[in-house]
Amino acid sequence: MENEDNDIVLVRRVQNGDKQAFNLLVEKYQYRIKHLVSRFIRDQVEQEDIVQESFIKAYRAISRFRGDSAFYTWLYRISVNTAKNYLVASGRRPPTQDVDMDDVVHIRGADGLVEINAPDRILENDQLVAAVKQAISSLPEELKEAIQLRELEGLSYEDIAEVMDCPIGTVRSRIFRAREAIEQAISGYVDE
Amino acid sequence: MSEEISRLIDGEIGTEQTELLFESITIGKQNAKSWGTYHLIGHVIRGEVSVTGQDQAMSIAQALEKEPAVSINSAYPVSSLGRYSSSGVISLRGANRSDIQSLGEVAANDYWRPAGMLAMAASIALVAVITFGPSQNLKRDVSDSVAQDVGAGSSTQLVSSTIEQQKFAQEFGEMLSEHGEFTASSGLNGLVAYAKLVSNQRLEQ
Repeated sequence: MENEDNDIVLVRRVQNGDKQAFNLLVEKYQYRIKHLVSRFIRDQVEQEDIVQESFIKAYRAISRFRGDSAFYTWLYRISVNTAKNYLVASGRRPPTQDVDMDDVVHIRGADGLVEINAPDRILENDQLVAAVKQAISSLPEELKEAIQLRELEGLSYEDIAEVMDCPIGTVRSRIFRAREAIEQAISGYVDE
Repeated sequence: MSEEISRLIDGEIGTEQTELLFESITIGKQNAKSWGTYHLIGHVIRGEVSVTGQDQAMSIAQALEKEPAVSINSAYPVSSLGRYSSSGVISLRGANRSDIQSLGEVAANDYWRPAGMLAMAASIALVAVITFGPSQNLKRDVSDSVAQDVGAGSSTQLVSSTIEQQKFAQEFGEMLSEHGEFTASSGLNGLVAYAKLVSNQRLEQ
């Protein structure tokens, strides 16, 4: 089952009154949406407001989402429009060109756009990111390679098994063990 | 369970298991935490978290608590029909209407006030029409009047109207009785009958 199909399943659940299913979509896409919004708005606090507003708008409109496009594409449009409307409402000019969806997904690293209005939170975030990176670097090589092939290259388990020359069950196990180890390493940074 | 969640995130799980897994993730706090953390790990590996600030899932979830639950059977959240239904524009089909939803709420508030006043005025008018409007008594009143007029045909004072007018009055009374015999003497049905009469072609002559 493809990842987008998971989204459809979650959307259907939300459409049938399961609010918690929408929270899973938030968990899944909040960072990508935040990254997208950061291309329009520099202020950290404003970014968070726009992200929240985008998700709330998406929730309110989700009963009319029919799955003609991927959920993320739909959410992307809502977020871009929300960010642009916010800029117009606050007397600022929105960018003339839209941010390409692929750019948003593949942008790497900070680009200096963010104003440090919430240093504590950024520090927390920095610590979390550092902890995840540290945990990844501490992984046994075969676990690290498996999780990176999956998350970075987007390979399927079958392809990873071919690349790593091991059974698919081993790939499944390695990826899970990698995630489990990282989860354990960062448990102090993630809200209970 | 966590291993299944890991496979689910990677899209490596069967359709039949997906629903059950989501069921357990939405119910179980630990499973939901794993779902969030596993996605976070992916974002960090892909370098998508570097400018994103803190985890907003909690604050968004809190904001969503104020929102009514959604039902696919309704174009609007179930428990807020009154809040949304006035903004009929929003219910029109269209893929990109989500952005105007919040604007619709604002517009709804402005829209309700005059609509409410209009509805109140219409209600008063309805009561007035029902109270003083046509009833079956009209049949007797009108036909009696016509009978008196015809009976006193020699009197020039009583027959001040022309024969055509008398004929019209007779037809008018018959029509009222025809349409009124199937309706209540009061209430909305009586009004409907009256509406039919008003639109009758014979009246336009």
